[in-house]
Amino acid sequence: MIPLSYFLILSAVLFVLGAVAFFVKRDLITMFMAVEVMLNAANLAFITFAKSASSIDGQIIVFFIVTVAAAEAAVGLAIILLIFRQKKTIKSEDINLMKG
Amino acid sequence: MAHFLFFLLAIVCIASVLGMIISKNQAYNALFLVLAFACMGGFFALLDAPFIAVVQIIIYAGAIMILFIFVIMMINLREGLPPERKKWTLYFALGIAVVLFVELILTMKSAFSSLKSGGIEKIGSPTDIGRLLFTEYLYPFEITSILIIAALVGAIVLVKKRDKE
Amino acid sequence: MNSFSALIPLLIIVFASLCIMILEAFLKKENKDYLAYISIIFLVVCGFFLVRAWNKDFSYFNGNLFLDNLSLFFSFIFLITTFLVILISMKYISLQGVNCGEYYSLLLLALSGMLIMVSSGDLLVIFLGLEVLSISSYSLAGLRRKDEKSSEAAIKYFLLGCFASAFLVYGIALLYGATYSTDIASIINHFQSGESLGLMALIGLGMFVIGFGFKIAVVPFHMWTPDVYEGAPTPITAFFSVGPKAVGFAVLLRVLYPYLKNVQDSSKAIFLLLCIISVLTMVVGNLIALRQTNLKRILAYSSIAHAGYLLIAILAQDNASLVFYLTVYIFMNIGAFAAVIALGKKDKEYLELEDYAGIGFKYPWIGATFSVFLLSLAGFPPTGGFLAKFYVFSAAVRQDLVPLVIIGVLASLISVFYYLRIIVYMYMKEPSYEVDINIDNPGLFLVLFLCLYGVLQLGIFPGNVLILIKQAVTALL
Repeated sequence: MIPLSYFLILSAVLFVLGAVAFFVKRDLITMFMAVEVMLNAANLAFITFAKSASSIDGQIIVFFIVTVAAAEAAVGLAIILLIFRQKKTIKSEDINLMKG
Repeated sequence: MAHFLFFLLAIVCIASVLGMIISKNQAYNALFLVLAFACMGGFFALLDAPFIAVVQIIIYAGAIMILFIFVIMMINLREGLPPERKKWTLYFALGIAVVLFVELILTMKSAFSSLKSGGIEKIGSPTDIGRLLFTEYLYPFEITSILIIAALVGAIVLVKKRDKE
Repeated sequence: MNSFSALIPLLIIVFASLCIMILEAFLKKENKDYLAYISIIFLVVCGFFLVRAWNKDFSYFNGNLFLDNLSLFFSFIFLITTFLVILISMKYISLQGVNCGEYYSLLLLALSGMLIMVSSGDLLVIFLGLEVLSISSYSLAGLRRKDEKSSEAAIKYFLLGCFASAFLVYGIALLYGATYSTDIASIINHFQSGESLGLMALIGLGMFVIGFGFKIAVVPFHMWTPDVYEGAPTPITAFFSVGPKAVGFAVLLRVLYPYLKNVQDSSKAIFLLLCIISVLTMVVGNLIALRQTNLKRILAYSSIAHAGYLLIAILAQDNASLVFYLTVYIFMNIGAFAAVIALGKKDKEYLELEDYAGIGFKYPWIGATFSVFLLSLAGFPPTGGFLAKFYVFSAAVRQDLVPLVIIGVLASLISVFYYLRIIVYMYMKEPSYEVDINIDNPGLFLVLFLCLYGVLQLGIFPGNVLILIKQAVTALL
């Protein structure tokens, strides 16, 4: 039996890696992918806690989070396409029309 | 056996997320992420959540990441790779990462002792999940329909070609 | 009482947005205004059902959805917000080329997200409602597709919004791990019983607050706000500055009020976190607003600063003053944005401070009402803004939060400078060039009038509304 704490540590590692990737990466698509990694880390935490509680409520919450991620992906990629059509670039430092 | 599987999946998962951070090619990034999400499905299976594991692989690794890859194909950047970020953002990110990580591990350490993995095993079979989804979780389930409408309308209204343009 | 009636307001709004989407396909371009009228009719019907449900405590779906007086009151002011935003949008969207039925449809979907959030005590439902609201908002921000600023606003809002959502979800995961529940009441119970895992639950709550901090735009999670407010279509900016903010505070109230009240020992950390955020928000928001010249950015920073005052109300655990402040804030902020929208013609908006030189004499109506809204935002009597600040600060003094109040008063003194600067431009500067506006805009003038009425009524005779608010907040006790 694998100790559940391993899964929790893994989840924390993934969440932190996702947050780092969000700050370090400079193209919009990969920044969005980093957010997906963070959401997945939360999913892993939910499933681990569900196992520890011997209930499947946590699994159902994950189900909803996956739906949310899919909806976010649809809108987010549409916005990224919109940006690309206008600017022909998806680098984050080119998103700079507004300052102050 | 289970231990071996866990460490194998964990190493592959973390390595592919690291690969995503290091690589600058978006198509590779997306593929790395598919790998990471597939490993995540493996963890879910190890945690007695077979249905969610399948959902994870079909929806996340299958549908969502394919959407990413499609957009990357449509964008198809030919120009050079973006230059590195300034050094301080990297240090800033690493600093935040260390703080966040230590904090999370410290908090979870308090939970480790009370996490019980024994007891009655309850496996999240499709029947159980379906039953709960349509009884106790009916309201959230209905809300997801509103959520998907909003996402559909939003995505279409943003990128559809209008007559005049 | 378990009754289907609890679901009706939400159903009406969702049905309205679907209807509009279908009608959009059949209506001619010049008849798009009908969609606005139809949405207003649906809003009125929904408001009727909300009023009827007052004091009835309907609930449905095993209590996942409940309409206590607090959620009814908030739902009602969200309906008013959407109503006002639709009225100021009608002319604007045809002038700025975003005239499509989906605009109203997305606005109503965002409203349904807010209704979901205020009428539930389950973190999962609140999160899903927040996502409905956010996803509609991301698309609304990018709706002016010809304008690059608009899509920049959309991508900034989207990326930071998703990042915040991830924090929120992880926070909920930790809370779930500590308490094995996502229901607010049982989470608070768990905190009260002081079992182990307290630290994990505490960090979970902290991440929850941070995630909502992005949504209500408090410093240091405010980076997106000015850019998004500047880039989004102006009526949508008006909506963002009140809708998501008010709903964020409604949820924080539901979570933090019982927490701060019942949990004495471990709530110190969260209390301190909120104090720091509140002080930073008031000081930074007002100081940066001083050097802005774009009206939308000034109002963006002003809305950040107002989030700071609102946090004081949460810290003082005075719910009535928080709700009253939010109500006044909706009228004065939408009014101010309506006045900004009033100046604009086809494909052109006047948003710089210089554009406002001499407006006060040229268009006395607009100048006078705009001045009233600005004075109210700054907190001058006899406007609602003064009373709102007065109630919040006096509640804080009663709770021995004097240092916080001193900083708050100083910060609002700073804010007087930039609000008055706009008025000075309007009345004391000579215009150097012509600014012509589209007078033919009945919806907008109706909004200016309604907001003026709201601000003055709440400032001079707040009695009736205060009684309603007192009844509403008893739901929390």
